[in-house]
Order: sequence, then structure tokens, then C-alpha cells
Amino acid sequence: MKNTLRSTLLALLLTVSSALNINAGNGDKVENFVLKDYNGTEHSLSDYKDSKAIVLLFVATQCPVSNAYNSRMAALHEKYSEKEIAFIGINSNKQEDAEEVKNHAEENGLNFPILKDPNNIIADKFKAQVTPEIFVLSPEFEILYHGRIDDSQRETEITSKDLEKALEAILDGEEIPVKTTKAFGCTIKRV
Amino acid sequence: MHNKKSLTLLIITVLFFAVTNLYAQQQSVIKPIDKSELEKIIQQREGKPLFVNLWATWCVPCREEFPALIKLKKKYAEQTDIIAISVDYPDEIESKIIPFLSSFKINFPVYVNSFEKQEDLINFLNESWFGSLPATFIYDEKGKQQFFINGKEEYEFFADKIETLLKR
Repeated sequence: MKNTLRSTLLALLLTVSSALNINAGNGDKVENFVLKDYNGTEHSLSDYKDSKAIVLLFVATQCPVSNAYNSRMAALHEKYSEKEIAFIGINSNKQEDAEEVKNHAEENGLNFPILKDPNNIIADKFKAQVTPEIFVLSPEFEILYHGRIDDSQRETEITSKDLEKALEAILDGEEIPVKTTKAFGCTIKRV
Repeated sequence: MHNKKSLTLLIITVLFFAVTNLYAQQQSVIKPIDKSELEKIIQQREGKPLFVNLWATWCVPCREEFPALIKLKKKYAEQTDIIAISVDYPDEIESKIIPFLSSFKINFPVYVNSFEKQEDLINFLNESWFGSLPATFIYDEKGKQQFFINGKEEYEFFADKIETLLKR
């Protein structure tokens, strides 16, 4: 009886503590989710569980910072999709509809699925704050890396390609050197 | 004729100095701010709360929020310090920050971020913040952060927070 109570309390404590923060690299996992892309096709996170890693990118069509990274996101997708890393964009902004997301993706060569997140439900689950904001997941949905693509909006002033370093470490089976990074961007426009 | 010419020259000279002085005033309010300077401002409260707004010229909601900051400073001029920190690049002061600010009557200090890394400024202000703009941090009269506001808010929302601190 005592052991059951202790186990229950421990489980409850773990649930509460994991709900307060989502942290990269300490075993935090996310649940499967299903969202539609801008063509109305459903995508489940579990559709990508055979990938070596899943890169979730919270993006925007109207954010100058997210847009400053369009070509970099396209290039990273091109490079790493050949190495079995899945890229999935998520647009949680209330004022950016599917058609706008689709036109923006086509105009900017963003050839990975971009899913609409109505009522920012998935953004809330991830506690995503900013665009662009990246979560790299293992095939088991553990968060391996969380944060920025690199450390400068200006391509000529990049000193640290953090997302790329994380992906290379994953492919090499090594520890990701820096699991959490931050950079300025636009707030996600929530309902 | 000679008097007319002299008067015209005088007017042009006065106008020239007036314009350059105004420009210099705008320039002088855009100071770089690093960690030690920001720490000093936060700690030197002299019994007043501090309202710190983080913004950028590329951030549309930040720009929309600016009139509220000016109105707040007018209302709480003697009771609360207000500062704004732009995270535009320092080399964009003349090309972007000043042109934007010139459409307002700025009544509080505006700084430009000169922390070594943007992450340093983000984590210094609040470790649960991931750099989304606009963001506002309100410190009490002892320099302790009491409110972290993520996203654009209206004047009434900010005023309510300030009033909460002033009533303590």
C-alpha cells in the first residue's frame, strides 16, 4: 500500500514538473499530434517516426526574423532530408491562414510540410514563444534540441550554426554540444 | 537690400543649428546598453518601479505599442522609470531607430542592445523568456522583477501593473 502510494505520488510529481517546463536533453518527451497542412492533408507526428530525427520549426509568414531564415531553412531541409531527417513547419499565428502559408511557402522555396495549428494548441503544448523556434525530436519524440537555427539574423555574421551542429551530432551518434539556445524573434500570435 | 540678405542668412543659420541640435538630441538618447549598465539601472531604483520594454524596428507589434509607453511615462513621470531597449543592430541607429522614433515625442531613455550575445540579454532579463518581442519586464522599487509580459499589451494593462506596484 505504502509502495503504491509512493509510486503514485512520484508519478504525479513527474507529471507536474514536466508540465511546468519543456527542456531539451533531459528526457522530456512530447505526445503525438495531428495537424493539417496548407492543402488540408493530415500529418501525424508518428508518420515520421522512422526518421533519424524530426525537426519541428515554428514559423510565420509575416515575421521579418522568420523570413530572414527562409533560405536557410530551405537549405537545411534540402541537405538533411537526404540524410533521413524530417522537417515539419508549424504555423500557429491566428492571422496567417492556410492559403497565406501555402503562397508564402511556394514563393520562398519551403518544400517541407507546413502545418496550421488552429488555436495554437500545439504551440501551447510545446510552450513555443517565438518565430522561428526549433524543436528537434528523436524518433521516440524526446526533445533533443530546442532553440534557434543560428546566432545571427545577418547571414554574414553567423558565428554558431546551432541547429546544424545538433543535427550533425545526432547523425554521428554523439552528444549534442548545446541543447538549448535562444534568439530574438516575433511572438507567436495566439488566439 | 543688404539688410534683407543679412536677415535671410541669419534665419538660415538659426534654422540650421535648430535642426542639427534636434538631430543631436535624438542621437544622444540612443545609447548602447550592456549588462553592467542595465544592472545598475535596475538596482538604482530610489524607491521607484522600473518598466523595461524590449523592442525592435522590425517588430510591428512593438511599434504599435510605443504610443502606450509614451502615455505611461506622461502619467507616471515622477513615480516610475521607463526605459526601452532596441535589439536592432547598433549600426542601425541612424538608418532605422532614429527615423522610427522621430515620429514620436520620446520622453524616456531609449537604448540599443550591446550585450555581447543576444542570449546574454535574454537570459539576464528572464530565463524563461525565449526572445519573443515585444516583451516587458517590470521591477519593483527594490529592483526585483515582479512582472514578465510576453507580447503586445495595451496602455491599460501596463498601467494596471504599475498601479499594483505603486500601491504596495
